[in-house]
Amino acid sequence: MKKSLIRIILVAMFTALISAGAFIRIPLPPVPITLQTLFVVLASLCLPTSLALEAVVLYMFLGIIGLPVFTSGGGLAAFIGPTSGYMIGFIPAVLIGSLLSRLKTGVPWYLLCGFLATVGIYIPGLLVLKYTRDLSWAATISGGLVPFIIGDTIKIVVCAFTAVAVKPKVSSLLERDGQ
Amino acid sequence: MLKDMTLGRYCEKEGPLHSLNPVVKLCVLLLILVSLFLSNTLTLLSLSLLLFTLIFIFSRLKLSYVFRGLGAYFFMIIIFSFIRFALYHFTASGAEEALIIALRLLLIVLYSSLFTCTTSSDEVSRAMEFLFRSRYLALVFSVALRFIPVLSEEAKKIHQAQLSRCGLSYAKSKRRIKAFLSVLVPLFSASYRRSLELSMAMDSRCFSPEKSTHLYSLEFKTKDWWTLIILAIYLAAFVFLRFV
Repeated sequence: MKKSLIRIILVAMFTALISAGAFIRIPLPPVPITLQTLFVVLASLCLPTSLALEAVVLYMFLGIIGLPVFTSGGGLAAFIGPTSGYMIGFIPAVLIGSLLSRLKTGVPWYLLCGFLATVGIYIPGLLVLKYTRDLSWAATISGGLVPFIIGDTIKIVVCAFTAVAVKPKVSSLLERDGQ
Repeated sequence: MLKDMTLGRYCEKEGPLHSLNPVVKLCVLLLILVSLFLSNTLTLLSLSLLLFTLIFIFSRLKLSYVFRGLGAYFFMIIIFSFIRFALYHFTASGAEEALIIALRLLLIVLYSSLFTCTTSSDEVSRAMEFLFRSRYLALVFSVALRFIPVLSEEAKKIHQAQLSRCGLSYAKSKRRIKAFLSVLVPLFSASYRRSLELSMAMDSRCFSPEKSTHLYSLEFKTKDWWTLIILAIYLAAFVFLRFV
């Protein structure tokens, strides 16, 4: 398959959006949230599986070689700390979101896809948090999940509505490009 | 936002490390990062620290170039190692574990910082093209790198514009979603517009993901081979200490 310029630009755009999203901090109570995970979920809903995966893997590669694109800066250090599981969770999230979003369209379905993709981020995140800090399940959930529920719910809703508007445009671009 | 990002910036300078082949530098970085990931004793980490010191002396860079922007990291490293120390109930073995984690994180950040200080983004993209045999990956990488600062600046402008219009109110959940959308929608439409412009500009300049030639070819000089020999000695010592 010929990998055209549109594919390159779309992957680069989503990589850049995920990177920029790490630094857009919206001060919602109880904890301020970043747009990073929102763009990961949005990439999974709007792009075909291979492109969404490429965008997330490239984002990780940029961070690993030392560019400051992670919320905690850059470097492989982000994959060692107790919050590294959330970063690893981007890959299952993208796979879940993009594979499911191919089946149907519409806001309710995208809400479900967004929810399951977010679960894909949290499962490795919570597991790594629990086992690296040797916490109980109650402490892990109260520290690693509960504070983010409101923010993530909003993110999923926003993602679903945005995906409904954006996905047809992205698809038409890719079709025009002969994919 | 971006003005605080001093870490990861290329340092424009003539130096021995700058003139090394980027493919060699990327291979060295990735292999050292993997070795650091597998290092679990102070001896292994001391070996890596010794190698870093040698590379740093060889690079003839100022200490401030490599250490700039690392303040937040030092704070993070102290927190992580303190947590590890506390998990071991402040015992001697806990102190050793804390030291291992602190040294490992510090070395990872320092190696990455040294790499980005001495390798420009174009060189990284050439190295990726050479290593992965994919012009496509190299193009995605270089386009993404140029997009990141543009989109971050765009996001900053939109955020400030919405703040000045009192558009970011977080009182009720419905307004929270609107606040989110007021940043997201203009950011997304701006990036979409820029993407179309960029793809048209690249297309008209005959950019292609297919294989292409370069004005300057990547050459392996004597010092690149010496670097690979030193890396091989380091890896042999690492494997011996770690697995034998």
